[in-house]
Amino acid sequence: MADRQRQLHEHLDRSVAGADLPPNERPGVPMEHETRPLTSTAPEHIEHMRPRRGLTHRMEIRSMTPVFGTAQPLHGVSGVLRRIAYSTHETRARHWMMLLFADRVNVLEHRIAKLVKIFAIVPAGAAAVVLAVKFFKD
Amino acid sequence: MPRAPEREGRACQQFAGAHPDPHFSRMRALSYFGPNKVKVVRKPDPRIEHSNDAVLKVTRSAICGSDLHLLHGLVPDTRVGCTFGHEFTGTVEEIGSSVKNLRRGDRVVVPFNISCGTCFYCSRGLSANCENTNPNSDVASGVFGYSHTTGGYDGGQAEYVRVPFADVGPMKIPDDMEEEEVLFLSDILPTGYQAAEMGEIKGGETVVVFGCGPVGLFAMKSAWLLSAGRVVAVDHVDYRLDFARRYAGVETVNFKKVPDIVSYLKDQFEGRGPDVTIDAVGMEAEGSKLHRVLGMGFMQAGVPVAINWAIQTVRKGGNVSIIGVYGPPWNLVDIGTAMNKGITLRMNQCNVRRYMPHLLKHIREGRIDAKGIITHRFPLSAAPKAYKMFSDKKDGCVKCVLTPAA
Repeated sequence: MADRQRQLHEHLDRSVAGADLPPNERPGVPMEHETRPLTSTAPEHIEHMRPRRGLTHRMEIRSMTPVFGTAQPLHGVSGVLRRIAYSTHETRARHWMMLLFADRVNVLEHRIAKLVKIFAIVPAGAAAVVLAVKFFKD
Repeated sequence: MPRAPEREGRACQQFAGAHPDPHFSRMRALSYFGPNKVKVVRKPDPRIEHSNDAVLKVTRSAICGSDLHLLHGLVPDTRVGCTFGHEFTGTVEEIGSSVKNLRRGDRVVVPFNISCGTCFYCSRGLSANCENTNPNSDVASGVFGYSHTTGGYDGGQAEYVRVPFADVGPMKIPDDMEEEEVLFLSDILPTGYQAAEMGEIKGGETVVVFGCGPVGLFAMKSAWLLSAGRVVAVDHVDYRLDFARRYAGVETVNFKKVPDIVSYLKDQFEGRGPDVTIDAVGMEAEGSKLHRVLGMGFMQAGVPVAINWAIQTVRKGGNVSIIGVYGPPWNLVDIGTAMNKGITLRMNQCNVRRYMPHLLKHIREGRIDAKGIITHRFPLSAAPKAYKMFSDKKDGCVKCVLTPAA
């Protein structure tokens, strides 16, 4: 470690090194403090979001948390697999393995849907070109 | 509430699951389409879904090392169409009816964890463990753009983003500061700081940081702030080791250039090992072919090489701080060694909101040059290229920042 001396001479800018040595300069000490709201503006009462279709929650809780994400609701075969996964405890390996499997199925579903779209669009486009050529010839 | 103005149509593929409601203008957003495949597509703009929500126009969004775990398909329940991005700044575009702390036009930086601010955990300072924002798993709070395992929220690598609990998480950016100066208060700077803080440095301790990525760099800087006596960084990518030497003023070791990294490090610290070791690598560590095969084949949740090295290297009775991300459910961790050596293991996702004001002060007073780790800037449309470069560790890439408005 040839740069040991360089480190000692170049880095140790006294205004930086040790600036947070006193415990009261450490925002995360203690990691768990006495109870108080996280910020002064935190809402006292948390309104619940309206539940909607295609969402999941772990089986250990009875309903959705008050706030949740609504991106990419469940659909297709991957959605069925994810529902099965969320019906098992998250402490079980099969819960996570099923979710990973559903992820791969989801990718496959997307690719098949894209192919179907291409196969539908290409013949339709070709037919339109043929009709247009015929129309202008006549 | 004022809505986002319609934006000019730009050539861009449309996501198949787009909202049918024509009321939504369609923003551009990075979306996931399978392992190693992300594209910028059009998606419906986010909207207010809860009275304490805000919608932000994203001004800067960074790509995090942990986004690569999503990109590589290693995080369970990452759905096609998911927009990544949990490090971002933005301008408030729209607010819910109960939001008191923000106004339209405010510039804010947003913590990656979504926290209610008042639950059992939040009220004890553990905002990363909030129990009101993630219905899908007990392992973490809600997180922006980090799969449905962390709540199913879309992230900030987009033109707009929905921010729940707008009165709790977002912090206003001072008028005299730029977005890039404070962008990393959203995740990597507090995460690196918490990593060093969990090492319980009391003055003069020796610290080894595994990983010279952005979080590792900030952990090194923070170790100095907390009064470490000696800091050594370990990685195998030479340009990152060079960067760590320049940016954080630390000693460095390339673990591929020594026969056995654990013995080598012990030798550097009088044969005992350092007082503190920090794992700033996570689930995609190099260093063991066996663990890579088991980890990538889903026989275990990622590669625990960095944790094991941290446990084996630290001196007996020392502290191991884990801030690297690992997926559920298990890893082959050398827990027997940890027990026999009497090591203290400390870890958590970062409780970002607690650290933001303190670290903002350090940035303002010049003790931390957070912006100094940015090596590449891209418009949102080039995000897939940015991911590839970051993932492949090409072109000296340390940190990529996206500018959605460019």
